[in-house]
Amino acid sequence: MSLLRLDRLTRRFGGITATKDVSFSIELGQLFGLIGPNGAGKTTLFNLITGVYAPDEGSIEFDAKSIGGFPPHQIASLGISRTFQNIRLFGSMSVLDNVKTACHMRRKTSLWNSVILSSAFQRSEIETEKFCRHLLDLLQLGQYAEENARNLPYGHQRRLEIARALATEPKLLLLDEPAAGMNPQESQDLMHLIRRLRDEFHLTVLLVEHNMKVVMGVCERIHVLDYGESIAEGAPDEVRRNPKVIQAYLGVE
Amino acid sequence: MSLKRWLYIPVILIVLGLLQWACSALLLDGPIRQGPYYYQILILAGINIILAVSLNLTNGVAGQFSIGHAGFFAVGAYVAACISVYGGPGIHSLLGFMPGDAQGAALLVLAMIGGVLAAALAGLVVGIPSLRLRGDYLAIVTLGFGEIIRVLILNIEAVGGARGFIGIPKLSNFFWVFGGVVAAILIIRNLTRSGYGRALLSIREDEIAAQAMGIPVTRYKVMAFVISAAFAGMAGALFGHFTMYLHTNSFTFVKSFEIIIMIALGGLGSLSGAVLGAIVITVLPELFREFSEYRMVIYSLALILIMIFRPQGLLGNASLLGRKRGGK
Repeated sequence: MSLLRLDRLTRRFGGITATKDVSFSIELGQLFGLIGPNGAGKTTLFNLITGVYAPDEGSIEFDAKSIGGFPPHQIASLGISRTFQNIRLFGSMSVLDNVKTACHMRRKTSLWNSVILSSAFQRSEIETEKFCRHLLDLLQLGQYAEENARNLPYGHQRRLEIARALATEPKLLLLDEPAAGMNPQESQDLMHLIRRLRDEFHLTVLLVEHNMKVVMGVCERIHVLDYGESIAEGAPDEVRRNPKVIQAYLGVE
Repeated sequence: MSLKRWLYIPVILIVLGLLQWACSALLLDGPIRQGPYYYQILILAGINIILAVSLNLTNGVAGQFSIGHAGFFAVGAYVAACISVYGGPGIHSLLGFMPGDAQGAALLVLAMIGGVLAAALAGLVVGIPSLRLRGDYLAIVTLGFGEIIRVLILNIEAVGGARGFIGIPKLSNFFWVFGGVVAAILIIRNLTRSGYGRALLSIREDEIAAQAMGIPVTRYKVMAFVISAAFAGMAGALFGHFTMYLHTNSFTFVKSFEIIIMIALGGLGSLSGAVLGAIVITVLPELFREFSEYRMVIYSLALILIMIFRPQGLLGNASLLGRKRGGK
C-alpha cells in the first residue's frame, strides 16, 4: 500500500519550472531517497508535500487523501513531519522546549485547563515531558535538555531537528539533507539512526541527501531529479548504473 | 491537589482586603500628609502593570509587534464607563435590596465584564486581518487602529466628545485594581508556561518551523492578541472608575509607546520584567516632576541606551516568579 503518491506534480516560480510532472509513490515503511544535482527541485518538492507551497498542477495523495494546497499545520496534523536543510530550530528556547512545542499539536489540554493548572493539565505536562526526554535520549541529546537550542554544536542541532520532527508523531518523516556538514563517522551513525527510528516508530522516510554514501547505504528505493524532471527511479544499484543519472551528475563528453 | 489551589483565592482576597483597609486608614484618611497622592500613584502603577503584562503576551511572547494597546485600553474604559453611567441607575434600582457598597461592587463587576468583552471583540476584529501581516506592517496597522478608536470616541457626543466623559462613579479602588493585577499576572503566567505559551514562543522564534510542527500560526497569534486586548480592556475599566473622568488625551499613541517602553525596559517576554518596567515608568516621572516637558526625551534616551547596552532588558530572561522559563 502506498502512503504517499505524487502525480504529475508541477510548480512554477515566474518563468522557472522548479518541478515538472514529477510522479512517484512511497510504500508504507519504505526508506525512500530523493537525489539530484543542486537546483534539481528537491527542496521545492519537500515544500510542496509539507504545504509551504501549493502545487500549480498535479496532486499529492497521503494516506489515500488528497492534501495538495493544505496549510502546513494541517499537513503536520495528518502525520507528515520534516526537518529543514538550513536548520530552523527555536533558537532561544531550551532543547527540551523545542521538542515539547512539537508535541503541542497532539497533546494539548484546553486553554482553560492550562490557565487554572488543572490536574488534567499537570498530568499531560508530566507525560509530555517523559515522552520528550525519551526522544532526546534516543538522539543522544538528553544531557543538553536545558541548554538553549542555539548553543548546541551543529551536528547536535541536526539531531534535535529530527527529535523535534518525531515529537509530532508522524507517519511520514521527511529529512532534508540530514548529513550535511557531518564527518564520515557521524554520517555512519546517522544511517544506523535512520534505520533504527524507522523500525521503532514504524515510520516511512523520505530522504533528500547529497552524501551518496548515506543515500546508497540507507535507502531501499531512489528517485532522481534533474532540472525539475524525473530522470530515473529504482533500487540503489540500478540508479547508480543508470547512464542518465551519471550524465546528470558528471556531465556529458 | 486541585482543591488546594482554589483555596488561594480566598487567601488572596483577604490579603487584598486587608491592604485596602490599610491604604484607606494610612493614605486616604490617615496621618501621611501626601497620602492621597501616593495612593493615586499606587493605583496607576497597578493599572500600568496590567497593561504591560498583557502587552507582553503579544509583543514579548508571541513576538508580534503591536503598538495600538492604548486603543484597547480606551475601548475598555469607555464601554465600562457607559455601562455604569447609563446603566447605573437601572442597576441600582434593580439591586435596591443590597447594601450600597455591594451595589457599587456589582456595578463595577458588570462594567468590567463589559469593558473586557468589548476590548476582546475589538482585538478579534483588528487581529484577524492584521495578524496575517508581519513586522512593520502589523505595527502600522495597530498604530492606525489605536488612533482611529481615539478619533472615533472624540466624536461621540454621548461620551462627552472633546469635553471628556464626566460623572463616572468612583467604584474602583486598591482592592479591585490589585485583584486585577493578580488575575492578569497569574493567568498570563500560567498560559505562558503551558503548551500554548511554548507554541506562541515558537511563533516568535520561527514561524515556518512552528507551522511545520502543526501549530496553526495565525489562530494562535489572534488568540494572544485577543487575550492581551481583553486585559487592556480590564485595565481601562478600572482606570475610568478610579479617575471618574475620561478624556481621549489619555489614550493617544504616546500611551501605547509608554507601555512598549515598560516591557522593553523590563525585558521583552519577561513577565516580572513587565511588572518592574510598569512600576519604574509610573514612579520615575513623579520623581522628576520638574522636568516633565522632557519626559519623552528621557523615555527615548532610556530606550536607546537599553537597546545598546542591555538589549535583553533589565531582567532579560530571568524571572522573579518561580523557575526560569524553560528550565526545571
